[in-house]
Amino acid sequence: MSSSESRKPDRRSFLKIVGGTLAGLVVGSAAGYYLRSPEIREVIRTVTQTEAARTVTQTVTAPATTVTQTITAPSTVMQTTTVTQTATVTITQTATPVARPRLTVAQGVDPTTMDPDMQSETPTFVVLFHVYDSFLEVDREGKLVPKLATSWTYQDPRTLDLELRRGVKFSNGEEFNAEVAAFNIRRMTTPPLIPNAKPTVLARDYLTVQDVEVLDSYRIRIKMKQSDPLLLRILRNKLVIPKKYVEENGFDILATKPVGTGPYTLKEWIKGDHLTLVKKADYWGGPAAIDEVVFRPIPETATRVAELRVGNVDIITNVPPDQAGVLDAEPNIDIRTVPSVRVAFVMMNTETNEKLRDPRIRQALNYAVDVNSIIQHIFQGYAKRISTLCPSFFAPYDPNTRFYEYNPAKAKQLLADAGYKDGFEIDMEVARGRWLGAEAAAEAIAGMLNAVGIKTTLYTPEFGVWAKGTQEHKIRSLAYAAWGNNTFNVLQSINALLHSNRPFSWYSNAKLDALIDQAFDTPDLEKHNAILRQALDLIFEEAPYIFLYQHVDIYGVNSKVVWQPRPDELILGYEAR
Amino acid sequence: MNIWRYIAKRLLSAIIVIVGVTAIIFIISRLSGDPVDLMLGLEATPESRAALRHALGLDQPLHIQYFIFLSNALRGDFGVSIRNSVPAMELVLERLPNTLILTVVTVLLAVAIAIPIGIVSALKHNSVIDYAGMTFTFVGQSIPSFWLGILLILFLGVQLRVLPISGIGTPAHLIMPAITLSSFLLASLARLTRSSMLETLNRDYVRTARAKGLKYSTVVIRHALRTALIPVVTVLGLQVAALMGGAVITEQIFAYPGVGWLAITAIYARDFPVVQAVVFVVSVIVVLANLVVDVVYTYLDPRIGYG
Repeated sequence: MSSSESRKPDRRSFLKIVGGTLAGLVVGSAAGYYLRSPEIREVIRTVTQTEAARTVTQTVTAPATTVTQTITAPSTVMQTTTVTQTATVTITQTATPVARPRLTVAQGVDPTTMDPDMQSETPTFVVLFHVYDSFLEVDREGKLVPKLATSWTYQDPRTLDLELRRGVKFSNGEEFNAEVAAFNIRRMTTPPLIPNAKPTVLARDYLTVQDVEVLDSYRIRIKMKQSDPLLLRILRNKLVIPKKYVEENGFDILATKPVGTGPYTLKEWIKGDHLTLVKKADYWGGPAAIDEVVFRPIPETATRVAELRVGNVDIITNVPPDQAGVLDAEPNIDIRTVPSVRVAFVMMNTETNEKLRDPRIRQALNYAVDVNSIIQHIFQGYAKRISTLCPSFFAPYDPNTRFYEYNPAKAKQLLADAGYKDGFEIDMEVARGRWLGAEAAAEAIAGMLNAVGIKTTLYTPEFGVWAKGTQEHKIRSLAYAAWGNNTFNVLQSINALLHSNRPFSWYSNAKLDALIDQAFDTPDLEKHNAILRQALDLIFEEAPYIFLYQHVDIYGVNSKVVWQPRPDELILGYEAR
Repeated sequence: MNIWRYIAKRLLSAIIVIVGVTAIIFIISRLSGDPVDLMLGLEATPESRAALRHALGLDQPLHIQYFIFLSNALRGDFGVSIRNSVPAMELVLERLPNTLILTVVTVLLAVAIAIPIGIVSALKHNSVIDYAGMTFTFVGQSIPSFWLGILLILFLGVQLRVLPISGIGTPAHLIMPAITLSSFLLASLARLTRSSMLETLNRDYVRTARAKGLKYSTVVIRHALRTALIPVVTVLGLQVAALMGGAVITEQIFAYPGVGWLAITAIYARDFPVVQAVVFVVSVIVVLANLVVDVVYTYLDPRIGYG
């Protein structure tokens, strides 16, 4: 024992070593933490310099307090930023109004990647729409308008020609032309028509595309395997990536170093903390009014609200309905809302549950649910009742003309007619943590079904588990879900949800199938919509789902910011002042 | 066996533990869902699912996937994040300094407050000071961290506007998360120090030391405290390990980009490479923390040996 004791460093020196190492670690990591990247140092320097420059002009006009603050401002990023804001206020008061230099947006999550084709999440799209441009744009009425494509024509239902905008350059100087456009479409086919390219996440939307042809420098022709009027709508989500840049550096570089034709470029991205975009002076559509757009991921709602209240952020997403009223009452904060493209409903599994094959029972379920009460009490009015699955603003028509009114007596009668006077037992599920108010709404619905004699057992699986089940084509008899449709065409929803033999459909109706197929074969807008109208009428009568409401997106906004929310959930700095 | 051989032996068994943990995580995470389902959304066709699954290597049998993972991991390659398309380990290492610094500050804060409270409470046993200290720690132990966090934000961030509410960047950004995280640790350490100290103060050797005429403070600090700290060090070691991976709620409240927040996001998205990289890093830290605790014992109490 004594020999090993002697090889052991003595207690005091051990403690010294441990203490020293710990202290070194703390100091070292602290230093590294603040000066982690050259970008941060650059920011500190620029911000400080800008501040110095501003101080000069301010000493003339600004009140003494502002000057003191400026002088004592510490040289760290966050606090300097606050001072910059103070400075801006002063300038705005003393000179003619100028656009705000910076717009800070807090979403619930960080963007996942800067490669627009490798993701499908709204918060990521929101950021990417600043850096990249899409081929087409949908206006607030849901109508298609030109962007990088200036016009589009169907040569026949399976051939789509696009005329492209001239004189557009990527932020690295690369020119946008037909070759680039074709390259973008080729990446999206399954499998991609570019050698060695990985299949993309958004390839799911381009399954009908067969090939793309370059007609001349600014015209391309997309050939489809089958008629697909939705493709034009899909192209509004196709953010255009550069060809040469990718060929030289590989697709992977897009994940962190994006190059686009959009109104902003990426300045820095400290993952999990913030992402800063700066405006491009030579944007083809004219420079943006706001110099910098900053995105911050703040997952906790209460924290997002707090940051808005103290003025550190200008726009927050997903304000809970029960807080909207309180926030709106604050003098510096506006609540701005827009009906969303997301529609909630309760799916009925007619494949495994025979009772649900009887339309009388399906109608009974619709009569049993007090949708208005759910909207009033769970969503505080921030949801909009719809007839079937079509949001109110899907251009150019609104088929929300009649509803299954709340009528438990009629529900009971229909159940009795169908031979279930004493009701029956049924299971229902709702995925947790995915859709606003879903769990509470599902509980309310289960309670209302119980009240007419349908004994409902509610299950609440985590969303990932539920999604896995749906891919194996398994759902319970009833399933609450919400469906986002960014094509602004209800055909996408009803085809996926109600056409026989679709992976996400548990319903089958030959007449409806025929109408959906017919709509796909009819690109002519007027005829197309007439067919959809017929389909929706049939869906209303057949009641394959319990129809509920479309969501309303609620934003908290600094009242000085000029900006209106969009139904497609995009927050575009280019549209703000 | 000397201490160095003991450490070597422990490190060897640590490798087995870490491999075991990653294997369990590998299997469990893959049983509960599929990243492709979550990325493509509900409406995607089986065709596009299959294509993406193939590109990500998720169509291989589970054991093949595990061996590919293991052989790559041995070379330090933990794969590419499915959601973020960048190396998974890079994502973890980017956030690790944030978590480490928050953990260090939290522990320092907890220790700096808890041990004096514990000692004073023990010395002034059953006095007003003792009751006040214990009430304080009782509250600390029973307040849920998300509630305390939001309360701090509302009071210090919104009402008084003295501290930044969320994010990182300045030392001030650490204060509220550290208070929130340390409340429970502080309370348990203080209570432990108190009871351990009370027990030690009644020992014969303490009485002897006092009888020899040593100063009371010397007796308390040099003789009693060292013995009393053994259980405290044990708890501290375990808690540090828990803080490394378990600060999920606090990190989310304060939008503090640490490992816990990354882990929970990755788990929900079934981003397997990131989950595995996080688990690997955290289990290495846990194993090391335990080892350090065991080694520190021998110095706090020379009677403990690993011979």
